[in-house]
Amino acid sequence: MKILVLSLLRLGDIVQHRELVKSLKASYPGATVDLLIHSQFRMAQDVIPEVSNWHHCPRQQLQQILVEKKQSPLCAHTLLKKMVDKINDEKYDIIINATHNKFSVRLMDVLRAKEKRGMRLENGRKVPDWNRWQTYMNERFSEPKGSRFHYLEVLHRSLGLEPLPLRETSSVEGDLVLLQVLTSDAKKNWGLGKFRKLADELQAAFPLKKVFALCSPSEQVEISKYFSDEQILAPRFDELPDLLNKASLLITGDTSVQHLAAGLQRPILSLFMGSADSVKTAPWIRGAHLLVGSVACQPCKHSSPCSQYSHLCGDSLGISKVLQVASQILRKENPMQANTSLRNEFEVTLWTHYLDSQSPELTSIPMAWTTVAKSWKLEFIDFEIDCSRLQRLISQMSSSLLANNEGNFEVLQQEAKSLSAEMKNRYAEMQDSFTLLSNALSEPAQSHFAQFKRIKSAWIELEQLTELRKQLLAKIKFENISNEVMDV
Amino acid sequence: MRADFNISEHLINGLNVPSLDGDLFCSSRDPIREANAWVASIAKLVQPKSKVLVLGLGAGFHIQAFREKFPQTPFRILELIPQIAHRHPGLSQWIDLEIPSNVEIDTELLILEFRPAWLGLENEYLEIQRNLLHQNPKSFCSAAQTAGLTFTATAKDFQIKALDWIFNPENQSEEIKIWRALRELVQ
Repeated sequence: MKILVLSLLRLGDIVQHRELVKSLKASYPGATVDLLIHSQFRMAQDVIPEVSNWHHCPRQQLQQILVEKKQSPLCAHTLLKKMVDKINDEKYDIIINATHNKFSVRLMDVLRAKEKRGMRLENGRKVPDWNRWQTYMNERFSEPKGSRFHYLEVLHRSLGLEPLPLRETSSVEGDLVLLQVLTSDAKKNWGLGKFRKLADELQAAFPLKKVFALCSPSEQVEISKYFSDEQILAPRFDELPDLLNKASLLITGDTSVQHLAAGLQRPILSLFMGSADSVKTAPWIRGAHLLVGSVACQPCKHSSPCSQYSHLCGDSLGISKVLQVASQILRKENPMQANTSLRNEFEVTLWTHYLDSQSPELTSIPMAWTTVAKSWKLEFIDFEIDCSRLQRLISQMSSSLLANNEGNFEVLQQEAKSLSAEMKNRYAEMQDSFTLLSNALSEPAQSHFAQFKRIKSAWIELEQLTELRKQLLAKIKFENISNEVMDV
Repeated sequence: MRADFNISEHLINGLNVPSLDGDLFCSSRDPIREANAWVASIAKLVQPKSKVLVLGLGAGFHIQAFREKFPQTPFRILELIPQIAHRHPGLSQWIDLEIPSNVEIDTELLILEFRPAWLGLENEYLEIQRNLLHQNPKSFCSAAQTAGLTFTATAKDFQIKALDWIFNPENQSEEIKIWRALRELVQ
């Protein structure tokens, strides 16, 4: 069996896709898995040995031809066709699009295989989503919208694959403490000055360790303004695995090096700020530690500049806090991790059932939920009342639309929009249940009919989630909780 | 095309510089700096496998700077004024005085312009550039046909962002699908 995965994103994503390659090999024993990546990220080839063959998309060259106009646009066509022909000659059994952008979706339309998975077009038309996980991926991962699940989990399930169990951080000691001091996005950087102070304090506290600032060779000049040459390591990408294997700890932002270290099961302390989303792109490994900036605007959009007067999320992570957690990890003490709340656990279970299109009948309910379920139930009753208000407004919108009363439609839409915004604040834990509805009510559409179609479909999702929530809560009552507690 | 070229020589910063009817073929202040700036502006476009065609020789300082920066890159120069071409006997093996009649699609070919050297023949060079880059319907169609592509082009077809015909949902040929994919790269 021959499988091709389209991994047409950035370096960090390609490194993360190593997990997908491993899962595919586990699901299809004996299969060869090839990857299509952008030529500029060829260095990833050296760190993903599970891939049999690599294909390269000359994206930068294509863009240069089309934008700079120093070559005929037909050259771009010729180059891309050459790549497509080469892939089609391989006669793949399965082609998987692990990329969520329009280019890859279009490419899927010209690539041939017995089976295709992931977002794609078929003769110019969008192929319906494979499952709800795929819809979730499309809705939550193209923009900075919250997700209850890690990127790799959603990606796997959207492709009908089970992710391999999370591995534990290795306890093998190393001499080095590595500080990956820059990321690909200025908003995700903690600051070179802060890293320098941290390096000094760590070195003083752990004289037997060697603390280094880690960077790519192209970043060395910038780093050398803060670190001496002896304090800097600027390895090639293929040299990183060896180096990381010698590390007791990697302190990093949301970078490809973080994902590489997770793949090698090395101890990681990640500093998440700016566009880095601590749920979506945390290190895919048990025992990694995360410190997350605490400001309301975080995580922000990847491509846009910081909207604040200063880098508030970075400022909210103090050197002393990072030093404290890093020291605890190095001393093998277990730093206090922000516990996933029981409520979040409940919502994750709920969403998993919804996205798997399963009823919660077979779910076993954690005992811990029973102690707090009463307050959930109370909150949920209020939530249901507000939902019925929303439902009434939506049904009135439908009547206005049928009566051609566009003015009234807009008034009702405004009212529903305000109510959903109010609900978002009131029911913070459940707000992702009506994210889709809030968006459908706010985002402009080509016509009122088109808008109403979106509102209706978002409402159906909310209704189904509400029904599931009811069933799940009822199950807590039935199995684990006395009638007295639930009698509210 | 204009045939009478009254070329004379001037001394600028100690350098011999040609002029046409009193106008110089390069900067009157600092030709070397101008040439280096031009090379810097095109440097990122030159790939290891690139073959370069420079439109315009003029005073020739930009060619000198180019050869210094990219000694391994094969190149040719198109110069339409014979007197200018003859001023640079050392470059004669790389100079063409006529437009290549049929430029096929060559993904390594980079067509660079040095506008100060187009003096007196700006329109002619521009037309040649448009032809070579398939930026007019005739050359576009002819080159596309040679490459085995089937669509017919209109005047704006070569602007990838304005490829109206790619939106025709009826056309689902592989060729058109590839254009559609390319278009996504420049959105």
